[in-house]
Amino acid sequence: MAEPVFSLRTSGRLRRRQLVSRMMGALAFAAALLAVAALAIVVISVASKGASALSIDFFTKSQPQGFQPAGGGILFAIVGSAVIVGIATLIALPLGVLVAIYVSELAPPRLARVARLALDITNGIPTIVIGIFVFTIVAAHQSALAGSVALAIIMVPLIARATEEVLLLVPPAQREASLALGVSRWRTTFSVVVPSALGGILTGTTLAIARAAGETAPLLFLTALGTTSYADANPFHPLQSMTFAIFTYSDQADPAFQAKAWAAAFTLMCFVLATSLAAKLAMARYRKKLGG
Amino acid sequence: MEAIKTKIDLTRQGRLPAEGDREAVFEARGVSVFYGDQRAIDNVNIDIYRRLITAIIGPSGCGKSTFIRTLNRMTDLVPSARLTGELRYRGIDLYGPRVDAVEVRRRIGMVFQKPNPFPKSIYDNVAYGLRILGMKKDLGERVEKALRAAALWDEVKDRLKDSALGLSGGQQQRLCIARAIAVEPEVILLDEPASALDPIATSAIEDLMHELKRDYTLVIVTHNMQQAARVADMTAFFGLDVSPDGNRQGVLVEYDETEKIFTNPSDKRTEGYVTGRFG
Repeated sequence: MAEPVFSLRTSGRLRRRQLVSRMMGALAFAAALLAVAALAIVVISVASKGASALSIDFFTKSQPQGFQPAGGGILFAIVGSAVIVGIATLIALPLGVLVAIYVSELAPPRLARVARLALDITNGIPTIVIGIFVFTIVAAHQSALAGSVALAIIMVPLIARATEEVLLLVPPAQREASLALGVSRWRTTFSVVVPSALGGILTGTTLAIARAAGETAPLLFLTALGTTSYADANPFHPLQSMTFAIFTYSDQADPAFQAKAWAAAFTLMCFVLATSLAAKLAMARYRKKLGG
Repeated sequence: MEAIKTKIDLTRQGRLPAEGDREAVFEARGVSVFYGDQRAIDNVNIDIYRRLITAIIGPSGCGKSTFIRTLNRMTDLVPSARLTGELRYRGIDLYGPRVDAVEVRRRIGMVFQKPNPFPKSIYDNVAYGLRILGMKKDLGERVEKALRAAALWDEVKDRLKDSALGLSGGQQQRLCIARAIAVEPEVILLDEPASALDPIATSAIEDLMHELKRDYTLVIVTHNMQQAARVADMTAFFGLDVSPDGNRQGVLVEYDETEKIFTNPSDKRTEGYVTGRFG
């Protein structure tokens, strides 16, 4: 066989282009690695510092009054957070879904744009401002309920935007199929469109819950500062919360308290990670069911 | 011309009632449809008859789908769409002031080009309309009846609880037909129901249409002229017309018995289209 007169090996400009291509690939990989590493570092450091203070007592006992370092736990901070976030979700979920339905299914395009803008702006308001607003204008006194209202204001745009996005993903053919049967718009929305979008709504809500559970600022005035009761679950009273427990513990000079702050942070983080994972799993199962 | 003539099943045409015995269900008088300022169809006059199959044929963009969607007010879903002229359904002005589009669509069902079953079980797909419209008595029997009428029962009776999305395209389309007939409409509109299906599934749908004709008035939009020739009693040929101001709009060129349209059309444009000389 004769020697070929040309070469198929890289040379000249192509070699340079390949080099650039490889470098960009490596850079992108490094950036992705950095993002994952940041999460890993946070998780590992919080876990390693917090684990030592974790104990059965930590979860099952309430914080002793008057800051004695020994003993005590965050039971009522957990209970308080659950009550506050739970009520906030009960307010924000229906409201957020209804807003999303209005924006994506019913509103004239111009109004929908205005509504979307309003949601995005609300989402951008510093949460402490929302806290002040609720404290001074909506609620006359401190209570967990007022904290829930503040968190609901934070959650509504998150749920609404996430829901709207999945509603838009539901094929128009599904709506047509229902409307062509002589089913009204509202019935079509609630029996065809919303069920199809349920997975996305669930995920959006979970993310909003995770965000709300981690909020400290709006709760400062509303339920936390000046709270005298450490063992309470009544939503009409000011209640403890996880984030505020972390805040107060970490503010103490005693290392035993600081360890408790880490432990509380670890607990909160686990809750957020678990909720997110659960939402993803639920959505995967839901998708599979739909996919047949 | 000869080639097409032989493909027409004349025995079916033979059962076509004489002109005086036909009962008009839809009467369109000077119907034009606009999308914004754009005229999509212009001045359509047509009578569509009870318990016959009426095919609407014509080249792409001639307003076939737009026209069939005016018949059950699906055009309402396009905010910019507007209709002028008069469209009567059994004597009532479909676009009259007190007419509810939801009630119109309950009586005049529709099957779409792409099968669009809900992501629910086979049973729930058919039961959906029945449940919402309050026809819950003997739900199981109604579902079975609709599936039998759509010639799907034998294929799915053992897996009614399975997802409808697991069915083949042809089965999905027959499920959509079952879903439409379950709520007992008077008319079924089919907008290119077989264009996404293979020839065997298409043939099943066509056979089904002949069955359904006994109880329902059927209107079918189709790209496929052989299909129109095979299934339709009456055929309307829509063409494209360019008005002096440059607006391209659909017009009804010719409407007659299918046999006449395919063998002896009155209009040169129809003849050109059905013989394949343009399209």
